[in-house]
Amino acid sequence: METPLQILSKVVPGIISHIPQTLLYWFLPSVLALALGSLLCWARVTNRRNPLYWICTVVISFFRGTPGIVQIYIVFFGLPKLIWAIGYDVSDWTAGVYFIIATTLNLSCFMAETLRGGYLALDRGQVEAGLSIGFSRVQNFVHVIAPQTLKVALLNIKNLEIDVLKDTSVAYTIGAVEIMGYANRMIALRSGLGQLWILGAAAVIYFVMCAVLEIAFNLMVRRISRYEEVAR
Amino acid sequence: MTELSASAEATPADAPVVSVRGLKKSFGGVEVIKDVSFEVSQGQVLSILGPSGSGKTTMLRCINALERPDSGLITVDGVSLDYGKGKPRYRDILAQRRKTAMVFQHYNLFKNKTVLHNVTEGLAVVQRKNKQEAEAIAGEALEAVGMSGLEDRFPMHLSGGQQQRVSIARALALNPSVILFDEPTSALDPERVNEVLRTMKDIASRGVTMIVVTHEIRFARAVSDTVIFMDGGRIVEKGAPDKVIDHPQTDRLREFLNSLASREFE
Ligand SMILES: Nc1ncnc2c1ncn2[C@@H]1O[C@H](COP(=O)(O)OP(=O)(O)O)[C@@H](O)[C@H]1O
Ligand SMILES: [Mg+2]
Repeated sequence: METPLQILSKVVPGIISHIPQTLLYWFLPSVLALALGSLLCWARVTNRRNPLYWICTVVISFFRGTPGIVQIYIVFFGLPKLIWAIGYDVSDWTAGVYFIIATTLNLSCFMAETLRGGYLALDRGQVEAGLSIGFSRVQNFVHVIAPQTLKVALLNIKNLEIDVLKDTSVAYTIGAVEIMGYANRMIALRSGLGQLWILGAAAVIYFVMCAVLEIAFNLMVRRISRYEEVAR
Repeated sequence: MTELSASAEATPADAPVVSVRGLKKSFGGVEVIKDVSFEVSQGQVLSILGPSGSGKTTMLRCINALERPDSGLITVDGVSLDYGKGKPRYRDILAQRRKTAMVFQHYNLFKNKTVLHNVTEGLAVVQRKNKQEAEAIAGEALEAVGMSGLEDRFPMHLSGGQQQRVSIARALALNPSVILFDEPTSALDPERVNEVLRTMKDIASRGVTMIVVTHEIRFARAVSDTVIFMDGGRIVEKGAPDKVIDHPQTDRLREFLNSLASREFE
């Protein structure tokens, strides 16, 4: 009979060694979704006669209105067929690639709506002030519009990012290996012996990562909202 | 102080710095500026009076190229936009905007930036001045509006009058060919009005060309070289302040001046 300590000492190093995978499955979609989400957001705030507006609206409501796991399966099984149909062989793509693609698409849609909320809350007066002092459109975007949009959106982005970090744990369902995939494989190898200890260890690691992310975002929020503090 | 005094550059002494010809602008089929023309010479102060809705704000916004007129020719310090020939090039719009600066009724300061950075932002980003230069110019501009010592405050922690003076400094620092003021004191508490008017008077005495939309008749009389009275999108009267304000020729201006006078006793 193994003691809990023995079980943990066998699996925890393995779990820890999979932290980089989990972080990759979180980080890449986050960065890509910030870019893609900004584009979608832009399409959603242009005028409604633009066909792009309607296309993006439909795409966004699809991704927001269906379960993430369904989207992951659709991308995992559907995308290779689609790419194959246009004449490319992607059989060497790993499951992780499909997971990153599916997560990026999903997160982009949520990101777009979050950014849009920030954009709609913009103070028009400050935007005009930027133009009036001679900012070009790009300068005004960089120096006035983007910072203000982000400021309003940042709390929601924090929640999105924490969800994405936790949801990397479903990547194992299509065979991508990260913390949860490794933990599951260990449990299977050990025929379920010490299952709760292994899951518990994974939970603690997720918890620590989420806590660090939360603290980082809170620091950012505080920094970006500095000007609202009461005067000292 | 030279950097903050008006830009006298290439413009000959008597050529107008701002020239507006045949300006027309409508919103949704309603014409709110109906064929307006006027000029402002270097270092002059033009005040615009008129009831609410007469098109004063719209006209300033056209000069700042924040609004696109339907037709008319606007020239600011050599940069001309001829709206009669369709949409002007973006490059020219930007050039004209950079010749003008606007002081808004509600200050419109960048709330997430300190007083100093509100003023340095345009210098650094638009005029590509380095940090030292930008801060030196901003320091002078803030001194000119009596805001030295409050550089590190955020707008939220300033009174309305202080915010408006910062916004004047933001405009002044850019050394534009003309500063446009849109009712700069009408959002202020009454006891804050004078500090801003005094600041504007100081700026005017430095030879800065100004167009001021205001309801402050005594200020307009004391500071302006020319006064325009607008009503219904047209210039109804125009001339020296003692003529327009003290000897109005039309019933409409008389009524307007009376309504302002009675307002003061409320
Ligand atoms: N963006 C706009 N859209 C529609 N109507 C406007 C707009 N801006 C101004 N107007 C109208 O134009 C007229 C003149 O407005 P404005 O220039 O603000 O006058 P003033 O500054 O003299 O009070 C008003 O009737 C106003 O309702
Ligand atoms: Mg107005």
